[in-house]
Amino acid sequence: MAFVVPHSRCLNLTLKQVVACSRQLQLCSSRNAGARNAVQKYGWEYLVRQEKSGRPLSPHLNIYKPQLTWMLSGLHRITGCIMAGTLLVGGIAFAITPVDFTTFIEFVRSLNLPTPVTSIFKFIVAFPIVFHSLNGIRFMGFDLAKGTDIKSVYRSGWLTLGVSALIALAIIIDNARNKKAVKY
Amino acid sequence: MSLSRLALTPLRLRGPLLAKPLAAASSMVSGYRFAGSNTAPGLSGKPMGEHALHFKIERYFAAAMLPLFPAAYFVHGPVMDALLIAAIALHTHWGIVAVINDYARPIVIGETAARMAIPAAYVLSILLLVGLLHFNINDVGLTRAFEMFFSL
Repeated sequence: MAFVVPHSRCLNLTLKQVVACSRQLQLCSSRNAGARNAVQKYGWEYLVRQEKSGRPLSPHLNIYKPQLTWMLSGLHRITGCIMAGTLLVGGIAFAITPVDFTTFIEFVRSLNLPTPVTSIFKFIVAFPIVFHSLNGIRFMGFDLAKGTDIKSVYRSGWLTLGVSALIALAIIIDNARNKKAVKY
Repeated sequence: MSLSRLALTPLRLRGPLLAKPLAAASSMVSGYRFAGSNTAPGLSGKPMGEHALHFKIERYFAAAMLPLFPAAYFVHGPVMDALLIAAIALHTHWGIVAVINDYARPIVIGETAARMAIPAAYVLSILLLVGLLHFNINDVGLTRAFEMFFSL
């Protein structure tokens, strides 16, 4: 249904203004604080007004039913951020502190952790890499509009999750079996 | 008639109410493409058609760097290290900018913080690249680090 009334008393905008604004089709509402068109300005002021009222925020993430679609999407982003964060913190830390990576590994080795414990840590390192890569393929399929019906989304989702876990597990098992003492 | 009155009337009664304004507005409506043009300016002031190219480049790059990771499982060495950090630095940069654009919004963190968020994202990407480069040049390097970690 289109806006067919010439004057909308709700928004205090004329049809001309509404159409002019929608022609700009600005997808992000308030990313850049400076440049706002009339509709975005109205929306921004609405939000500020609501915040000032002191009313609590409606529940969102805590009430949304966990579903494979957004859980995997969240996991994709979270694994990406954790890997990036680890590389960032690790890279800078090994650069500015007197500790280098060899010292760090020697320290961990001196803790003499049992194999199951080290295997768990290795799985925690391997799984995000594998999952993010495989889910990346799945998401690129979505970008090409392939497999976007709900059945395929769920099927590919479970497949990605399962295969990532299996590949990471295979890496860990192979590593536990063929652990060579690395001389450095 | 105001928009709210129109919205409240049940659909089956809306026909006669819509007929006249629909006719009057149709001449205005027919001239516009409601989907908008992609040369119209986006929020950052740049033409929106440019985002499409950036999106494509991001995805093509991600597809291209994908074989690098299975290869890195088998092939190690300084060349693989260099390829890995080149791929990781750029891909992660785009990822960081996307995440910051999504969450560091004015309504969430305030207007000044939101304006500083994008330069902060660039700073993080630069720090990542510097850290990785230092790791590859003055420390053991990424593939060797994985070897050592997995030997624990």
